[in-house]
Amino acid sequence: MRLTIQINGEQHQVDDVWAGESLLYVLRERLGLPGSKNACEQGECGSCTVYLDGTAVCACLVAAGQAQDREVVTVEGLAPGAGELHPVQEAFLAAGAVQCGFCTPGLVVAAHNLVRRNPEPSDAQIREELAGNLCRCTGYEKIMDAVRMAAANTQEAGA
Amino acid sequence: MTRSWVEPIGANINRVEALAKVTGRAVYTADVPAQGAAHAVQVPSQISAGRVRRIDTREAERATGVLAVLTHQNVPRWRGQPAIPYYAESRLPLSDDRIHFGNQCLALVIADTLHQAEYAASLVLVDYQLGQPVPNLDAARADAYPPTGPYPDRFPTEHRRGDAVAALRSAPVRVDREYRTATISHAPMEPSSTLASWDGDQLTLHDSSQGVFAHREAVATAFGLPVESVRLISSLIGGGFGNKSYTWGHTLLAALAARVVRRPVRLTLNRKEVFTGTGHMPAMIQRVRLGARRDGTLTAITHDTVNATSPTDDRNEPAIQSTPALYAVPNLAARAQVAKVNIGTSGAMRTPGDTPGQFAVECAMDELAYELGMDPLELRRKNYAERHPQSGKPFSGKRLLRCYEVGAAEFGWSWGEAEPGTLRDGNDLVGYGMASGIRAEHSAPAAARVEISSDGTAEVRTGTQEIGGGTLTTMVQVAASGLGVSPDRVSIKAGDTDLPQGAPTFGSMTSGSTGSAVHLGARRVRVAAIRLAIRDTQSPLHGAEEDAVDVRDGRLLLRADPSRGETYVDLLDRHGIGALRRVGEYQPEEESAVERATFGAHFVEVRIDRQLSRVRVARHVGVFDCGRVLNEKTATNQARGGMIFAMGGALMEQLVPDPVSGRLITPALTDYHVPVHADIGDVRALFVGEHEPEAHPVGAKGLGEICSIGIAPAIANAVFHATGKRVRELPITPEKLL
Amino acid sequence: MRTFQLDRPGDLAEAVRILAEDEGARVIAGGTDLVTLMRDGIQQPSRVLDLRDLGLTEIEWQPDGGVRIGALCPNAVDDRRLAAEYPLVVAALRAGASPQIRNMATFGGNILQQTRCAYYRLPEFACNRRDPGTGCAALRGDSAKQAIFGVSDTCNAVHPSDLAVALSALEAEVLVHGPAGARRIPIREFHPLPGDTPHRVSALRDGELVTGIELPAAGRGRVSNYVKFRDRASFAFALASAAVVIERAGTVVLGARIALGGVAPKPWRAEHAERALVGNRLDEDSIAAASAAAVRGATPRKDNEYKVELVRRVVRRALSELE
Repeated sequence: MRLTIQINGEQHQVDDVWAGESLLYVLRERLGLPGSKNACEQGECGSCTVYLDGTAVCACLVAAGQAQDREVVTVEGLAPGAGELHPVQEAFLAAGAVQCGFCTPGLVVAAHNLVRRNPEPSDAQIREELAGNLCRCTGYEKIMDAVRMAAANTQEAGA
Repeated sequence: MTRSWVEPIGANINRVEALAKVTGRAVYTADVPAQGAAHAVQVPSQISAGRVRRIDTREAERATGVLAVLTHQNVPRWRGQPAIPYYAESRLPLSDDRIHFGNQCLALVIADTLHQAEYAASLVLVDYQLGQPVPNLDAARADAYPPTGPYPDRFPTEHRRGDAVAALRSAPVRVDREYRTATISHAPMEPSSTLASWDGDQLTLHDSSQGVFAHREAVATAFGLPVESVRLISSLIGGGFGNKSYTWGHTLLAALAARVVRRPVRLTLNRKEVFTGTGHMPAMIQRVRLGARRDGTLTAITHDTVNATSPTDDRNEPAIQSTPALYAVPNLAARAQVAKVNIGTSGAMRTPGDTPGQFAVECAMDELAYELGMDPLELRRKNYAERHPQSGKPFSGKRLLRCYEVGAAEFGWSWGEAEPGTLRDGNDLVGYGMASGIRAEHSAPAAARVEISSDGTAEVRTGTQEIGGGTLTTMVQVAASGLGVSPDRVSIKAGDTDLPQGAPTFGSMTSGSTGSAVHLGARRVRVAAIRLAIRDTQSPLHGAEEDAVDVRDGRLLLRADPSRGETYVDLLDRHGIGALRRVGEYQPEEESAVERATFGAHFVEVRIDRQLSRVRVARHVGVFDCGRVLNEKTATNQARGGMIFAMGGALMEQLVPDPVSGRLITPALTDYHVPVHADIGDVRALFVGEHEPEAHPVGAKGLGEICSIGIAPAIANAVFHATGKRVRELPITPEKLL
Repeated sequence: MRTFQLDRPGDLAEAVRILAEDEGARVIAGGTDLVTLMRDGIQQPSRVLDLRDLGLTEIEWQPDGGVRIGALCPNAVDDRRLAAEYPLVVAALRAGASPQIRNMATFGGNILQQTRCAYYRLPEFACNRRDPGTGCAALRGDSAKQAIFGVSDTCNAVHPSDLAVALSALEAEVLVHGPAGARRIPIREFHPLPGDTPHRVSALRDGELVTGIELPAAGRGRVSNYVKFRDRASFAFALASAAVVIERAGTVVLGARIALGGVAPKPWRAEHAERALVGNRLDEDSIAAASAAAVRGATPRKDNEYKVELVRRVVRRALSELE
């Protein structure tokens, strides 16, 4: 099929797409956007979290055909401009929430989504809301710090 | 503009590659662009034991985009047998019709696109001759035997001192228990990936590798090539934990496929292949016997282990390796056996041997403490080994008593206030437990080139790998410290066999070995620059004593009079030197007068809902002696991660074999549960280590492994304290406490 | 590659027509289950219907106080009134999956999701549910996660949905549309027991699809609770779960509905336990009696016997926490 899709604000047409292949495959293999990671292929780890029409989803669970005519934002599209970082990215950097980094792109998008929807999340909310993002390196504590920091920074920026 | 000079080692600087990681621009092996690469997919065995009677690839070969289908019948012969363990299995892929475990690769399909290869792989028809599988360790245990071959050569299967049997017989207090641990997996977030391309007889491999030099040798041997003909590049690695310490079949197959189809070939494992075909920590059954006097003095310890091993290899999980080092006990006997099971070959997983081995011994110590009515911490202090109890040599440094002291204070450890099973808080049972850990410190030869340029920037080149522990950052810090420049002036090139040989990033060798090479290289550059300056009549430092000169923030200066000095930039510029570079080489001593090891102590509070008995680790204090801490930020994070990693193994992780066939029924992250955010309590990691040049020149020791040893027993001991029930089998899942 | 035809029917009639005509057609709603099943070759539809143009996402309050939820309403539904009047539904949804999955997954898809039985999901094992008549490797295999109620000698898989357990305790009705028009299926008849036909996972007839779920009006004095027990703190399928709905007049229980999850091939109504409560005060004694009665009829095997005790405990917990 021919897939028409908007990604990070840019319109794309991709030919010869198999309707059953995942949005993640389209992003990584067809459009050269390898930021979203392929780690479990079953929606369990959250490493491929992207926005689809404004809601956070696992790109590995979205069939390409389902993404037809929709808008996608990936980790590559979060920063406001070239050379800039989104406050959530800043926070991950400053908190030291990054180790091997393979879960990071998905976590950054999930945390972005969390802070956007809930500007003052409690610790319990953060832990529950990010339960779909596995990290094998950090033990999660610094990720918690990063989300708390991101929430505070976003509040400040918005104020 | 002047800035205050901060010693780079120990500073909390951000990771050098973190910016790329938070923006999605970081390149892992599967992200390396490859124009025109074909894709390879493995055809998995549906059975776990038997033979391929017939394999029909005709339909697959006719499918769109298919370039080749390789089976044991048409595969080019391997030219050599790579050495174990850096090639993990003695059987090379597709070498015969034998099937040893479920999901074993039976054929390789190479096509233009990944989807074409996947589809064609589904068209390969295999006619199986079903064998009789040995599904699990219980089924195999009766046939356990002492292993032979390269693995036991590397990991001894016996340790002895004194007469343990006699000492046990006469011991007034004895503990004799059996402990079991499940098959567990590294489960790194990144599935291994390989991209292979040939230029004549030159092979370039991008590979998710924790040791590019060791793996290059394995690959070169299999293809009958000199090592110089293979270049192995490891981009950023999405988690290792030992999963990428050894080379597995897929790396060789990708290279073979690229040679056959005369195109670059990419092979990325799926999650199931990661679980079934890239190693794991094997299931174990261990018997520990302790003998002691009534005052708690240990008189004897025996430790007998048996672990599941694959049909192709006798790999003994080295669970007895640290038993001789743990306590000052005069009589000891430890022995390792293996038993054949239809499962893939196990590999080194954080932390090989010591995670299961010290689970057994440290639980037995707790049982002994309760038997004696003695504080488990006191029992450990009582049997503390000042020198290595087996060799009699002193340790280069051992601050385990300090770990106990700091940990007990931070945790608020006080024993004896509540009998097991009596402490409650609302609906929760509450329990406290502790354990200690030891890990022998390993070393490997390492080299690093360090240079300072006339523009004031510096560069480190060493073939180490970034697996997530923060290697790139700490190596930059070590170089910055040695050179006397700010870390933000230093860049690093790593993960490539074209660079000077670094140590592998496993076995906790990075800080000590590669770190020492970088340290030595940077010091050589600094000394060369100082000598240049003090002999130079135009330098403000002319005539100064070498020892009197320090370097801070890129400026050489007199310690006694910091106003007198000049920058690297001025010095090099005046001499027309573009860059001053030196190679640092670290060579571990062959015979050492000291023993090197890292140490840890863990104090844990568990809470268990009285009815719904899931164990939660509410508080955990881990204290570590890993020498000098190079970067508090990355170290704390790595240590906490290791503690949670081990908590997962203690409470939830298990690769479950089907009891009939042995094929794994949990080879997916949906079923192989690792801890999620919501499982995490108050976890603290503290360090008591100090600069320890007797261990390695850089003064640091390994951290990546010691931080995951001793957690499982501390948790199991706390579970006993909470419930009064001894669970001697990991993981401690809810049904074991109902 | 395995190809299929992707259609986007413009209305319900067209969707029903295609489904009735083409035996190989399947609908895709959120896709969170079907995409992985297709990728792993567990399901190989020749035609897939993307329902996104059908609407069916609305929450419509009924004059009698009940509510109708569109089949394609996402599981991440954020509706104050629904949360206030049917907290059980929202609790079950939240317990069901990660936010990313709840954002895509739908009500209709949720109750039609396939079992997580490893033997079904791994094609190397024999499975009557996946390939009728080929046998069941789970019956001889590891039963730790398998059902203790309602099993047959062809299948002992567990229904994985949390939502369906809540709907069962609420006695919801499933609204379906097919070639013969619309009809309603009580939730307790929606999921058949495996019997000799474990591959039949719902009461849908050929050409039918789910259009919505209707919840009867919440009675006065109703309290409810959902307790899900799993082997880690979040994001895992239930080892056992219980949804309880109690209607009281004063202190006396007038009506009680208890549904169990993670222990049967369908949401399992614990009717013996319900009877132990009705007409009694909700106190320690009646709760103990109900939790004991909840496991009547269980047929555990050695390695899932723990689920019997677990059921008693989740029922006790669910009832004890009411109010």
